[in-house]
Amino acid sequence: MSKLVLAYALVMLIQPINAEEFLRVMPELTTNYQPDTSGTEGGIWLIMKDAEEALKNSPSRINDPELDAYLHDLICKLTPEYCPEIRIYVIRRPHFNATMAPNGMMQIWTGLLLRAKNEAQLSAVLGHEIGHYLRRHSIKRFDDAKFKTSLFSFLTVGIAGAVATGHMNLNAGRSVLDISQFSMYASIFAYGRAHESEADKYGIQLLADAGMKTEEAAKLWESLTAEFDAANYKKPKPSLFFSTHPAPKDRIRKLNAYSRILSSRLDKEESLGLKAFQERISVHMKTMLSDEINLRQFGQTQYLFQSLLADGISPGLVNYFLGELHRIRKEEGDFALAKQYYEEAKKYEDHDPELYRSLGIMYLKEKNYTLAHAQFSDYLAQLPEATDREMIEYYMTMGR
Amino acid sequence: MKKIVLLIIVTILGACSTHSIVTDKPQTIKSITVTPTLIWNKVPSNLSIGGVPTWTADGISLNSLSFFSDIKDGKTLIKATKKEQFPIFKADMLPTELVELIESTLAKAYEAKVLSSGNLKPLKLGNDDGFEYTFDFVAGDELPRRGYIAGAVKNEKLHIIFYQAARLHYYDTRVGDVRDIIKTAAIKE
Amino acid sequence: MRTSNHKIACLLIISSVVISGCATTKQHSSISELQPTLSNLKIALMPVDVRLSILTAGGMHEPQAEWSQAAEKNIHAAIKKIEETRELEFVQYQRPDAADKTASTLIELERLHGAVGQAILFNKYQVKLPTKKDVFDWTLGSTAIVMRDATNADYALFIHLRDSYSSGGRIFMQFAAALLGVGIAGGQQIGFASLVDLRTGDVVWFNYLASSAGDLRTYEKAKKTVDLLLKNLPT
Repeated sequence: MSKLVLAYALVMLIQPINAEEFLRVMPELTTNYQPDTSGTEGGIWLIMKDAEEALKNSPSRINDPELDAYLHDLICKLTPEYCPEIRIYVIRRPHFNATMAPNGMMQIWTGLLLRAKNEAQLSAVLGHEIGHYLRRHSIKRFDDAKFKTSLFSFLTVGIAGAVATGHMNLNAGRSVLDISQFSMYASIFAYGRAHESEADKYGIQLLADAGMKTEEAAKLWESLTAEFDAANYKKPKPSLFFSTHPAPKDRIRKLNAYSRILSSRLDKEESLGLKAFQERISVHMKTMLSDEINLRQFGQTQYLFQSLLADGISPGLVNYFLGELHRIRKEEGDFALAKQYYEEAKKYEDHDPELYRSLGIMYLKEKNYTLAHAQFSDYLAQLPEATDREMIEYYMTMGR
Repeated sequence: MKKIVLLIIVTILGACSTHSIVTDKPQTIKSITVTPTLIWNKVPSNLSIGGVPTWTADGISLNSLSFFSDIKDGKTLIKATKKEQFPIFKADMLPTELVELIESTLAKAYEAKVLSSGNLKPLKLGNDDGFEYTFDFVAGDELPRRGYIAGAVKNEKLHIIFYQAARLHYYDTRVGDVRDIIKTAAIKE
Repeated sequence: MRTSNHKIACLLIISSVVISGCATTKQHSSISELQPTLSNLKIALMPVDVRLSILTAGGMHEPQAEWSQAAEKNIHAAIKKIEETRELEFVQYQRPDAADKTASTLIELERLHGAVGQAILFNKYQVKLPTKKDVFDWTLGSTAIVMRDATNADYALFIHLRDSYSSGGRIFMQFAAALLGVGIAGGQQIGFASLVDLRTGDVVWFNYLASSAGDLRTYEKAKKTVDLLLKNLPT
């Protein structure tokens, strides 16, 4: 008898962590919640109202009604009860981020759309943000003095500035889109570890309830970590993602554990949602890839683009932009690599005519005039409306 | 400091300095000489883009004319700290690449987003072969702006004249004078 | 740090105007009376931009929703009073629907006005432009006609007000500082009103207000501020 007890005890001891019970997370928010206007929260909602007004018509906003509708549908899959009060804004920013304000305003940055590989991965992030929202995490922080200081100095610096300079337009104050004040931004959007864990858990619960593949949540953080490692930064570089979401290894482990539990409870095939997702964002690929290049973070961007290539995403465009990366970086071996990628891009239907111009410029600098002229001719032929036609024609006179 | 949205003056730094008049006589800014036909105001250096000599007609939140001169191979367009990775000028850059350099510098320094671009053309800056370029962009205040650039590389150094203004009304008020100014431009040997 | 000392110095210079507790206004007027196209004079009242905050002891502006909403109400009531006594008609401007064809132009006009208002405040009254010494030609340009058509009003009135109220801690610091002979910017009211002729886009009247007194939270006091702000508004 005692041997059995011992054996049982041993089994219990070495039982892996992922056998814990998955207790459902419940929303703390009532639907159509409105704050008391006399408190701090009321003041924050006021600022958020101004910010949302600015966002609506911001040139930084990607105004694609089909994309907005698709994203809203996704959110309704995740939380049918609360989705009517959530407003979505896709913001053109080449950083992995999504935020949700306590008043239901959600921002999704293009850097996230570029990195999510499918609907499930995107929904993992959206679900995480909804988790913060439904558990009122940001509201719970309002009593924290340090948080308040950061938030107000970030969002309302325009008032202080206004006193001195009289700057008063609709966008008075630092734009909520402005990430230049990095440390302040990070401290605003960095929830405590407990809240982050809870949001992860809520998010993956929402994924499971919506019938999406829960293992994708951990996969997304894994690829992000790999991308950041590839960047090979000598000193810790400010990354919005990593400064707001600490300890990726731990959360990856937990998410994998949750996924195993939740998947085992499902009786149907989980969806990935690849086709619909790729279709919706394909029209924005060129903008997103171009914005990445402009960051001039070549190590990180190279990893990301290679990963897109490996997944077969927009091969014509990705090869072209890999060419651009090497052409602009100008390190040893980049010249040859750039030419290689441009030539590769030509093979695909979705290649961009600009690649001919880039190739032409490279050949021109090598003093390979015949080849240069051929590329420039192709460029002008493929892009008759080229706005730099006169300059290209000038290039074609060089070396004669 | 560069991260502060300069084009719309959130900087409080310059609140105590003054502008001076720029008359319609020949003006020399480093290696560039130009002669304006209209009167401009010279902006105090702590209010200008990257500390670069700048003029304005109606206030820099509405329009500005900046002169970048004698930029050497290996240098950035505006002063940058080591942390910030601003693109650098290489003396063998073609105008297409110089446009990238300028747009990318603006994007990095002021979160500027190019809305549309066009009309990259060869242009004579004095006796030197250069280029001109027009583009629409927005910075932090989200007011659509139009930029017009004339530039040239001479003796391995870059010189740029950069005019920007609110796209609505203000761009047109001075672009004619800017083009005239550029016609009078000469770069020192 | 050099920059923050400079910042404080400039804040002091600007606030020195209001240390005595007086309200000052600076005004420009290109016209003495309004000249409507039709007999029916209407002024489009742009969404009043007013935000009230508490200035904490740490120098932070904590926005106050309840106060801001009350202020907005008070300002509208005060404007209504002015409407009655001065025979003006204000028409509330409605921001366009995104689907509206002219929406992006109207928004751009509003943003341009923000930049123009700022240029006037900064370059006419603070860091002055020599070329604008005797000239006041700031304008939204001829595209303003789009706003005229959208509102059916010949003029548009923009009002911006920022007001911060000292919390108890701040007032104490001010008092202590005064004893030591150091000036600290207390709660401040700052704002401007601008009247644009929508047929030309020209800013025909502009009033800049800076005050360390004034309170927008009660109607009576808000009325004083609005009366001051809209003093000598052409009729």
